[in-house]
Amino acid sequence: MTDVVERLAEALESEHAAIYAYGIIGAGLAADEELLELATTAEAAHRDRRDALLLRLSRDGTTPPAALPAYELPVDVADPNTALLLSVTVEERLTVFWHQVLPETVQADDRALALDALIDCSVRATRHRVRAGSAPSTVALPGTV
Amino acid sequence: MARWCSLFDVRAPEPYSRIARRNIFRHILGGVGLLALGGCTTEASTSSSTASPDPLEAVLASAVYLADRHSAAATAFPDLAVLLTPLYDAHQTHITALARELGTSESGILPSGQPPTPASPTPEASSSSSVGPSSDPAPTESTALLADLRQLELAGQDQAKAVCLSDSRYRAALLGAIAAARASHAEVLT
Repeated sequence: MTDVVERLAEALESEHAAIYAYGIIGAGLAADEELLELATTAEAAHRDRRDALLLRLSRDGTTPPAALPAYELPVDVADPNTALLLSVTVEERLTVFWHQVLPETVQADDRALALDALIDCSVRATRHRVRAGSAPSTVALPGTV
Repeated sequence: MARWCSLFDVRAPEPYSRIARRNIFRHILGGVGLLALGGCTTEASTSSSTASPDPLEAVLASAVYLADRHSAAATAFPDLAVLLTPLYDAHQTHITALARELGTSESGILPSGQPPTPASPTPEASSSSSVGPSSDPAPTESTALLADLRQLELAGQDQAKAVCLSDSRYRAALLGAIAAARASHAEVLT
């Protein structure tokens, strides 16, 4: 397996975990329409990215890693605050995985996929930090934290 | 049964210093880069022996410009300092990293600031003018000033993205992080 395929497979595993996490996050934010919308759009973006990764990995004849039935989450979601905290954690951690894909990319479409993903996750992390009242809401070099 | 995923057990990212060392070796070899294969790869055939400016120089110049604009805005409107200081600090971090990559950090001499000019402006970045955000004197009213800063960050994002997509993969991580940072700045300036 080439380095880029290995890193893309790791990114896919992470996107699977993120989609699972957003199911829990959405349940925690269900009482607030605006916050639920935030989670719903984020989950949709991760599903789209997962689908793009499935196509990309299958194109090379690689068997993409499958989603697991459940994942152990770092935050217990008990209320909207902890749900938002988990969503920030998810987006932050995904920036690291996508940041690590970039230096392995040779093909233009791989580079674009990883770059767009890094930017999207960074913006969502910021957006969710702002909604959670978490400061600072930005990091100097997303993906390196 | 819940399973652990590495998403929540993050591997330490490769430091830019290691990525930069690979770049140094490339320059020592006379800038011999990989030739582009067909039309699909993005490995740049850059050469230190040509007169072509390094694309990172424009990204560095725009980082200097963005830092200066944020600093000036916070001075003019002290109430904005809480919002703008982290953004200013981030641009300083970008300046340091870019200067190190360009090999100019030893001299301590930075280029003069230049507003970012995106290779292909996004509709939003260029919505207020045909050439992207204004390099005219900064607005004097805080709301308009924040809007101007936001346009500059969006243009800066486009600039860093364009260089990331076309330059060597060894620089892609740094450029991608800078593009992402600028995008997140635009988010908080909304």
